[in-house]
Amino acid sequence: MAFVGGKQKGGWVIVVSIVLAFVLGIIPLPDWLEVWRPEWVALVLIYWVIALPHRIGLITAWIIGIAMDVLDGSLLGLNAIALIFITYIALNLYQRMRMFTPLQQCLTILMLIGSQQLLIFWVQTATSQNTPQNLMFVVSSISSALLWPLVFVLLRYWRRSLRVL
Amino acid sequence: MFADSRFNYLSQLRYYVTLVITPVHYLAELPGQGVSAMGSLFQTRYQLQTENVRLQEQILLQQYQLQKLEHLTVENRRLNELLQASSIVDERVVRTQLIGESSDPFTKRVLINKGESEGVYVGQPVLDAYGLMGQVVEVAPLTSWVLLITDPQSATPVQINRNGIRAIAAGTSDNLHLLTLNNMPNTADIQVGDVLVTSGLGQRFPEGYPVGVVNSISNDPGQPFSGVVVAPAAQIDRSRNLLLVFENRTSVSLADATNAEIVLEPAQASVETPAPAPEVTATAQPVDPVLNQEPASVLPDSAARAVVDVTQITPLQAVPQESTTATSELTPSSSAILSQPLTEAEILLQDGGAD
Repeated sequence: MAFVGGKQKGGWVIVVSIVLAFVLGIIPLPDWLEVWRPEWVALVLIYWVIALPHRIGLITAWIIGIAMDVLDGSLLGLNAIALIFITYIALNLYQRMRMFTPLQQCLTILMLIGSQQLLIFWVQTATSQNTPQNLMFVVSSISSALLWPLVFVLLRYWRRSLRVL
Repeated sequence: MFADSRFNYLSQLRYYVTLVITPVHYLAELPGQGVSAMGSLFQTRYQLQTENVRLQEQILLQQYQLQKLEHLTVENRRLNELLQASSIVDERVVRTQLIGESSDPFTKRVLINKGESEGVYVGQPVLDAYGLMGQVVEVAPLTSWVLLITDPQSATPVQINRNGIRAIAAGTSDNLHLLTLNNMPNTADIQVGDVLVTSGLGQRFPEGYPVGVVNSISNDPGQPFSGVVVAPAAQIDRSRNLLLVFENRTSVSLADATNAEIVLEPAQASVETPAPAPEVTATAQPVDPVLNQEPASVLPDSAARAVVDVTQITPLQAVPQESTTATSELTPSSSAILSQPLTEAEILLQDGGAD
């Protein structure tokens, strides 16, 4: 986990960023904007996985996912499994993603968040939680991809100035 | 995950994680609260004054309706006793505030700031000032999740207020702001503008709370059922102050009825006073030594209630002859008396006594 120990420093930065992402994820939005709400938690998590793959891994993703489920009131484990899924892909991709241009990174994020949304949709349908009538549930991956450069630059600035290793 | 959807093993885990994670909801509320605090800080004197006037008018109107309601409640209780109805539903409401909303755009669930510590239970009905909002589906120590009636997974047993036709109002996934009536026959007597209230069937929602108003009806001859769209009465997307309904089902017994009589006895005595001396008003000192237990000055509204009480007691208790005549005079117009000022009630009483 992301707590201070040995050479690892600045665990609180990671915790604060995740809590901020939680808050952004549940802040009330108008209905037309609700569908476009970016997956803040997934974005922040992907950033930390790419930046610190030795610290942030599947277990962190699982804990964050469980917290998110409780926060949303959704099926316990739904977001956990989705976050583990994208964290696993990001752990495999992190070396390439660091080399990517911003546009390529955005496209990768589009794919990651899109597959996360599809996984969530699939599980929800399988457990008859709800059944969206159209494909509007994937548009949040588009907004997430568009916001990725902002998240990336902000978190990188934060990580460097606070020396999170 | 599937364990959560099918069994209850993980509810304990969810319970404790909720305790840890709840502050995040309050954190997310902060910006909105800040904005509204700023708004109230910069309200002008004129705005406050107009709001004050408007609220006072509203209170006046509602007080008037309340007067009538009190009488109707008593009457309803009496009729229920006459019919030997098996139970009387005694309801108590507790105010609660909405602190969060599910971020899933395809569901309609809200979080309220009362939980197990206040006695909230799963299945509890939730209202706002205008109608039924939904039901509690998940309880945490300090918060609970409420499934709103417009959620696609929610269905509410309703009846049409005008003619009592029963139906089920369900949420749809097409539009999370409206309800549809399932399986309404094309020939059913239903019109645009009909008010739907909860029918009390299904043992979940108490009877008689407004659910919605029929918005549109489409009769397609090719379809077996007509499509009825209902606009919810509650302000599903706007209400922040909600009410939790606690129900106490008590069975009616003879003991209850006798208790009621004992409570009413002093009131009955105060009614009898006008008979010997017609000019005595309700606030006057009682003359009869038997009535000395009465408080020195009877409050006007208790006297008004006494008028109704006479009609209740008559069949069960021996009442002096003069009062009985007063009762027969009063019975048909007793509801009118209640909604009018006390003076008129006194006049009626005195007239009855003079007979």
